[in-house]
This record gives sequence, structure tokens and C-alpha cells, in this order.
Amino acid sequence: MYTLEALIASLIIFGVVVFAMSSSPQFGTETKEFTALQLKKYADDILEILDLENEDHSSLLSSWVEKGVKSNNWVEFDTNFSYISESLRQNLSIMLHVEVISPNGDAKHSYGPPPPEGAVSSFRVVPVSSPPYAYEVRLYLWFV
Amino acid sequence: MSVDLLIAVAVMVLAITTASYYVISAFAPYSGRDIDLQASAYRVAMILSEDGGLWVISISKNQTLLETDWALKVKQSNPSEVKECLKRIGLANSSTTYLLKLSYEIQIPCYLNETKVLTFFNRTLWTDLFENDKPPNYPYNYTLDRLANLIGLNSTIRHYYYNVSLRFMNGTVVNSSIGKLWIGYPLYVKGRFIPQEFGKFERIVVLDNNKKIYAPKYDPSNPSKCFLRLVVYVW
Repeated sequence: MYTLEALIASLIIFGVVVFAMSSSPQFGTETKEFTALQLKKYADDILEILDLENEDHSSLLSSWVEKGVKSNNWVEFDTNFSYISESLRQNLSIMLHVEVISPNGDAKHSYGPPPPEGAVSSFRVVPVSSPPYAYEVRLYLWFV
Repeated sequence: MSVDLLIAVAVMVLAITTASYYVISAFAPYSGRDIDLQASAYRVAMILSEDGGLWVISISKNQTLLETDWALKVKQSNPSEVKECLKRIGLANSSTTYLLKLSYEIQIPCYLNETKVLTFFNRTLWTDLFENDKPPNYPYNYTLDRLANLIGLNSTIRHYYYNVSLRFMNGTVVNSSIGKLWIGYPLYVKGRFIPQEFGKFERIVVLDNNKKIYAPKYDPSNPSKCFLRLVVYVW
């Protein structure tokens, strides 16, 4: 009899503890959201800076993509993103993956390890002069 | 131990939990300090990196002129004009490209104007400007509080401490002609990190310090020369 009472009481207390834990304010979720927001802003800022407009309306990013698309030479693109990747990894413990997506949606080129689930991404649409197409450069970031 | 007692204890725990939950919820805007601090740090970082600032000149009774080159105006104006006209500090450059030349108010996010940066981080300038207005027995640093209002950090219910710095990617604070580029309350005192609970937000930025008005020169051999971190702590 006492065993049965103890069992019932344990279940009730367990239920109460579960309820208490689930009903407490979820501040941890907010912190996670800010971490994701920080990554998103890093990605936005990097693309924003690389796509700053030159006198001739080109940008570093568009010139790298144009060279890659036209002559299939992605050395400059990869080299520059390797420097950025190294800087992010060493100083902020952030990994990088960047993709160039053609107008028909195919991945034209990519650099860096494949992004895990939960990686944050940002993109810029970069014009390539001839033929006049718009390529999407998508940058994924995630914490190591 | 009887089951009655255990049930009573369980009900009591349930009641206390429910009551405390509602009490915490009622005070959420005040007790969620870390969330509020994160949002405040985000706001300051956003204003400084994406906004060019605001200098307001009254032309007539109903007309005002809004400008963003506040750093130049600060140099050219007397202290009372600065206090009257400087409404917001932002470090972003105005657009100078051909197509947008007429749209002077369009700002380029993350492309910081060196004159604005050197003016904002000039602690002596702000002290000379505001410290004489300090009310007697003011409990905090009056100059830093006035500056806080200009970067979007103000509240009627709490006093904020903050630290804003411009750093290389490796975290070292950038040194310049006016000293290290940081402003606000120190993060470390005698080697001890001061903020206990704090909000922190960073933006990646570049300076137009090569005097070019278009995209900055990117040096692939040393990206730290190009990319910088604008780091904001609020506590």
C-alpha cells in the first residue's frame, strides 16, 4: 500500500516539476535568436562591403564573379574568400561557405565546406555584363 | 509519509510555481535585463554602422535643414550650436556614386567615414563640450550620458553603461592619431572585466581612410587592413 502511495506521489511531484520547468520564461531562446542575428549581420556586412560600388559601377564581388563566369577562372574568387574565411575562423570561430548560383538556379561554383543545418545565410544579386545575367552569391556562416 | 502530505506538498509547489510565473511575466520588461541589453547593443551598432548621423538646422520657424555631415559641422561650429544642432551620431558615409549623387541622404552601411569616426571617438572633444553643463551631484558620467543619447541609448527607467570600439578582426583596438578608438566606460578595471550582465553586438565595417570615395581598396594579403569590427557592449 505504501509503495503504491509513494509511486502516485512521485508521479504527481514529477508532473509538477515538468510543468514548472516548461512554464518558466524562455530567455534562452531569445539569446539563441540574437546569436543567429549576429551571424546574419556578419554575413550581410561582408557581402555589403565586397559589393561596394566602384566608380564604374562594378564592385569587387561582381568583378570576381564576372571573371569566373566568363572564363571559368575562379582563382581570384576563391583566393579572396579563403582570406576572409581564414580571418573569420581564426578571430571569430566562424566557418564560411559561399555559392554562386546561376540565373537558372544551378550552383555555378562554391567555396568552403558544406554548411551544416542551422547555418545562417545572406545573399547578393550580382550582375554580369555580357551576357546580361544576374548571379546570386549566397554566403553561409556558422559557428565552429 | 502519507500520500496526503505529498499531495499537499505537490499542490503547494504547483501554486507557488504558477504564482511566481505570473509575477515574473508581469515584470518581464524590467527583469529581462539580458534581452533588453542585447537589443540595446544591436540598436547602437546598427545606428553607428548604417546611419550617417543627423545635424538639424532651423532655417525659419517651420523649416529645418537635415544634414548628415555632422563631424565637419562639429569642427566648424561653436559649442552651443553643436549642442543645439547635433541630434544623432552615425558613422556611415553618404552615397557618392554618380547615380545617387543627388540623393545625399542615402547612406552606405558599413562603409564608415573616417572624419566621423575620429570625431566620435575623440573623448576630449565630448568632455570639453558637455562637462561644463553637468548638474551638481550628478551621479554618473555626464558627458558619456549625453553622448549615449546621441547614439540611441537612452531610457527613462534605467541607466546604461556602454563601451563602443573599433577593432581589427583579431580584436585589437585600432590605434589612430587621437589614440585608441574606443569610447564609453572601460571594460576592464585593474584587469577585471567589469560588465556582469551585458549585451554585445558587432558589425563588420571598413573605413574610407584611403581617401577614396568609392569602394575601399581590398588587400588580399592582409584582410585585417580592410575589414574591421565595430564592437558595442551595453550593461
